[in-house]
Parts: sequence; structure tokens; C-alpha cells
Amino acid sequence: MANSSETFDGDYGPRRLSVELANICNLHCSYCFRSDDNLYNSHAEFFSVDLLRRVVTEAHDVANVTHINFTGGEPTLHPQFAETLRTIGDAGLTASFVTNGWHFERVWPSLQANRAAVSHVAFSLDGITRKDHDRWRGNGSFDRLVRAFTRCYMSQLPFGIKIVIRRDLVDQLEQIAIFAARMGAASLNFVHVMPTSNAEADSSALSLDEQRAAQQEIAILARIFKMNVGIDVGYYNVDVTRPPCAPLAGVSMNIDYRGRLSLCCNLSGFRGADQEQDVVADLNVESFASAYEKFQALAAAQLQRRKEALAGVEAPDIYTGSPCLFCLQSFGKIPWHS
Amino acid sequence: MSVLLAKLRENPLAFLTRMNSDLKGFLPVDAVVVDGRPGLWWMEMSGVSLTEPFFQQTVERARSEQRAERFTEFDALLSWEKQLESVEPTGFIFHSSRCGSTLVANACRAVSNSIVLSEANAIDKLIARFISDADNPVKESLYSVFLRGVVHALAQRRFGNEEHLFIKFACCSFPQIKRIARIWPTVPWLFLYRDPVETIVSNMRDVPPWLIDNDRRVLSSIIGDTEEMSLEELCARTIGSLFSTAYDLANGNSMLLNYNQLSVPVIASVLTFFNIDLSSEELETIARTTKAYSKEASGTRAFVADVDTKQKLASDLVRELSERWASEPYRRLEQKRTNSHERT
Repeated sequence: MANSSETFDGDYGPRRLSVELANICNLHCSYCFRSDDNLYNSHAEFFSVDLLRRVVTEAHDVANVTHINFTGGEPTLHPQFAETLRTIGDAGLTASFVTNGWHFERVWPSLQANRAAVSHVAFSLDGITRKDHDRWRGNGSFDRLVRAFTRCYMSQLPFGIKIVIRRDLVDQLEQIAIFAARMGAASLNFVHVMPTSNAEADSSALSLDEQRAAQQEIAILARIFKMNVGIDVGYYNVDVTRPPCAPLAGVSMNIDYRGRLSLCCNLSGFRGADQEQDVVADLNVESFASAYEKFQALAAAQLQRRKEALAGVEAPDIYTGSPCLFCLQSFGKIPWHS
Repeated sequence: MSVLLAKLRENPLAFLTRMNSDLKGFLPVDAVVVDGRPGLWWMEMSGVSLTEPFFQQTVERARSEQRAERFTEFDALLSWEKQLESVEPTGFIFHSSRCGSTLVANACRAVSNSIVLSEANAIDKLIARFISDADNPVKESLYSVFLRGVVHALAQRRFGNEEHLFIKFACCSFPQIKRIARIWPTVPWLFLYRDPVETIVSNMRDVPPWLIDNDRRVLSSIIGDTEEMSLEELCARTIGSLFSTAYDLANGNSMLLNYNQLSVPVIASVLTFFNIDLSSEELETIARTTKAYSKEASGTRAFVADVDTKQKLASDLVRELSERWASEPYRRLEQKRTNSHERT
């Protein structure tokens, strides 16, 4: 949700941290870009609340961070989820989180108890019917999600919907917007597929022409609906006059579940990656101030690398023109792509 | 409305956020575009009966009472409509203008527990968007959903006892009948029409807004190029096209009715066609209604069939244009009506 405004009006949103509260997830979506090993084959690891408390305070002081977005894995699996929200509220910051909604009923009391701290919730959706959504996320998932939407709507807690534009969904953008509006969503964010293999790229990801057509339709939907309809970064963008995304603008940072500061939540723990050059510091042993300097240097260097890659190229391919794909490639996250 | 528009322009986000919070008691009274954003204009209409011959007349009456008004984008409609208990459409009334359709709508109003939406702006302007946004890659299903939502909102059970919903559309909405029928495939529809010379004369004596609208996209969609054309020709070609559409699309779910047939028994047969069992009291009310001028809000001005008058007033130009553009479709339509009548 925080990223949605980057698409159409150039606002990078509040200075923020994405914090991975857990490495694990209760669902198993085949197109997910998080490492399979972390999600399903490793011991569950949860972000330390003590570390969160320290980092949040330091990030606010050092980098004027005002908002924390919890991700994962599935953040609501964190055993001290209420405590994490309280920590953010106590620090005078706001929090949001991205969830599949499965455990929303369970964490709802935590949200109510910390309502002032929670600015919004973002839900992941895979289809606008029970059958379509549950095909990807398991039986009962859609019903739980709709119940969660209703909870939020009736309690006036703004919520957003995030949906990956797989090839099988590209003809349904309009119906998805109607569904989101009917649910009372405050925002609808389309997200391009982050491919994790050649097969995945071929079967699910849109070609450049398909992306352009989808983006044109999304732009029209954005004009018609009041809810914030947008597309997260990752769309083809060869404008080098300004950073293409919040991380490269130095506005958004990621901290993985181990407590390591990295460039972007979309690169962190990427499935099949063989490098971690996007990780700049371990906050367990390093101050945020020191880590933040490294982050800024990395963001600036990557921005420069992108400018150079685009310079003089008349029609960059999608792996160069798309900021996300460019970073995935240049940070060694998609070794299968030559 | 202008004060609200000014507030909206001052601080759109704050205004719109506040505006969408509660639509209880509101009805969508217009489809508008504010600062490039299409949406709906709502008015607080609690306790207001839709008794006037035209929906817009009711809106003006309510507006004179200084009722609250709001703009929302279509999102509000979609999240609001699912909370409403509404009446499904009973029958649709289409027409070729100045042919007694308001009289039929008023007769529908005589049916107990009925809602009659007569040329409601929010409905007809949304239908017009099928045309004005035709070059837009967003498909028609989006505006179909909004149209269904608007009808759902207008047809909400505000008094608790509503059972029937009749919708009379503006004449220029008729060419979109296929799209409308896709949304409500089982709702029976009536097409009411009249001798073209009489229709043109009536329209020239009191020119309706649809003939002089600066935005010609809707008319162009009906008759093609509208440049350098007299009002008489615009009118003749439009009604000719409407006759042709009716001829092509009238089927077992529709009824054709000529103005010269209008009488209490025929109007009663229309309601029977709409699956309404009329009581004797309702028939009496209909008989009383047909004696009043259908478009006059007070219902006191007497209705006088003016066939002879209109024919006498017709100029040579009107007769010539009628003959060129509308007479043949009219004759074919009459033939289809009488053939279908003979079959039944």
C-alpha cells in the first residue's frame, strides 16, 4: 500500500522500514519469491522484539523513519505480534502489515488494542472468487479473507488489497477493481510477478507488451475509483531523472527476520538467489546509524549502476527497464536468467 | 451544488473522505465528472416520495428543502449497495420521445407499493457513458456494474413496503437496450412510439435537451455524423433509428405500443405484460391518471390527445424529413406490432 503512490504521482511515501517478523508462512503459494528453505524447511525464526525496539528508535532518530511495515513470511505468525505493534505505538510511529489473512481473527484483538498505531493492513489476494483464490491459497482462505475485509471495513481500519498480475489474471483487472471496491478497500495494488525461474517467468509473468496494456488499464481504473488503484514498482520504467522506487530513493529500507538491514523487501531471501550483496549490515551487532550509511551508499551505487545500464540503450529489454528485474539480476538473485 | 463543488476543489481528499462515510438516506441523483473523476452526485432523500412525473422534478423539490448533497466516486456505490435491501426491476419503459411514455410511467405509479424511476439522470447518464467512453479500454462491464448498482441504490426499500420497480429511460438510452438487457435479461420491456410527423412537431414546438446537447457523441452514436444538420433532421433521423432498433430487437420479452392506442385498457394490458395483477382501485387510479397531462407535476392539467393538432402544424420540411428518415422504419414497426398482435 505504501508503494502505491509511487506509480502515478511520484511520491515515495513516508520514510519507512519493512521488517520481516517471521521467516515462515502458513500458506504455500507456488509463485512466491521468498526462499522455499526459509519458509518451509527451516526452523521458525521470529524478529526479536528487543531488537525491534532498539532499531525503531534509532531509525527514527537517525533516518527520520516514521512508519514500519511488517512483512514475512507471514507476520501474524509472530508469537508476540501484539507486542510488536505496541512497540511501534510506544515509539510514536505507525505500523502496517502485509498478510494472507488466514490468522486475522486471531490477531484482531491485538489490532484493536493497538489501533492508534496501525495505519492500515494490506491483504494478499489471488482471485476474486472462492474457487480462484483457494486454488492458490487453500480451502477456506477466501472466506477468511472476506471476513477480514469486513472486520476492517466495519471498524474503519483502512485496508488495501495486493494482487500479483499473473497471466491468468490479466483479463480480470476490471473485475478485481470492482471486487476491491465492493469490499470497501482503501487501496488496490497490482504487483508484477517476481519470477523465480525460467518456467515461472514463461508461465506467469507478463511480457513487456502485456505489461504495458495492463498498466494502461490500471491507469484508467485509477481515474475511475476513489480507492488508491496503482501498480507497485517493477513496471517498465526507463526514466533516469529520478529514482524509480522508494529503496533507491533512500526512503524505504528492509530488515530481514535475522535482523539484517538490506536494500529492498523484494530482494530479501529471494528464492533461488546465490548472492546477498543487498544486505548491508547485521543490526544485532551494529548500530542503525552505521548500517544506514552503508544502505545509503548501496542505494546510490545501485542507482548509478542502473543509469549506466540504461544510458545509450535505445530500447532496453524488460530485465533492464524494470527496476525490480534489474536489481534482481544485478544482485545475483536470478542466476537462472542469462 | 456549486458550493459543494468549490469545497471539493479546495481540498478534494479531505472532502471526499468525509463524503463517503455515510450514505444512509441518500439517493444517487446524477452521474457527474468532477475534476476529471467520474462519480455520482447524491442527495439526502429520506421521506421523499418519487411522486413527480420525472425523477429530476422530485430532486428539484428536495433540493428546495436544502437537503444534504454529496459527491462520491463509484467505490462508495459498490460498498454501499450490498448493505441495501432493494426491489428488482419489474418492467422497463423505452420510447421514441413525445409519445405518451410519461403517461404510462404515471400509470405504473398507480400500482400499489411501486417505485417509478422516470428518466433519472444517474441512470441515463451512466448509459451514455457506454458511448462516450467507448474508446476506453476499460470494458463495458465496469459501467454495467455501476448501472446495476445505481438502480439498486435508487430502488432501495426506503418505506419498507416497496414491491415493484418500473424504470422509464430517456429516449436516447434505447439504442443501448442490448447492454441493458444483458444486465437484466428477464425484465420485460415496452417500446412506445408515435407517428413520426407528430413526434417531430412536438419536439420542434418544445425542443428537448437531448436535441440541443453540445456533446453530440450520444446522438452521433445513433445517427452517425450530426454536423450541419437542422433540428428537424436530427429529430427525424433519431426517431427513425429508434424505430429501426425497436423493429430489430423487439422479441417475446418486449411489447410494442403506438401512442394512438393509448387508453385505460391498453395501459392496463401493459401492466399485465409487466406481470402486475391490477386491483379495481388501481384501475380507477390509472383512469384518473390518464386524464391528467402526464408531464405536469401537480397532475391537474387535463390531457388532450393532440394528433390532429400536431398533423396540422407540420411543415413541408417536417413531412419531407419524416418521409426520408422515419416513415419507412415506422411502417415496418407498425407492421411488426400488428402482426405480433394478430398472432396473440
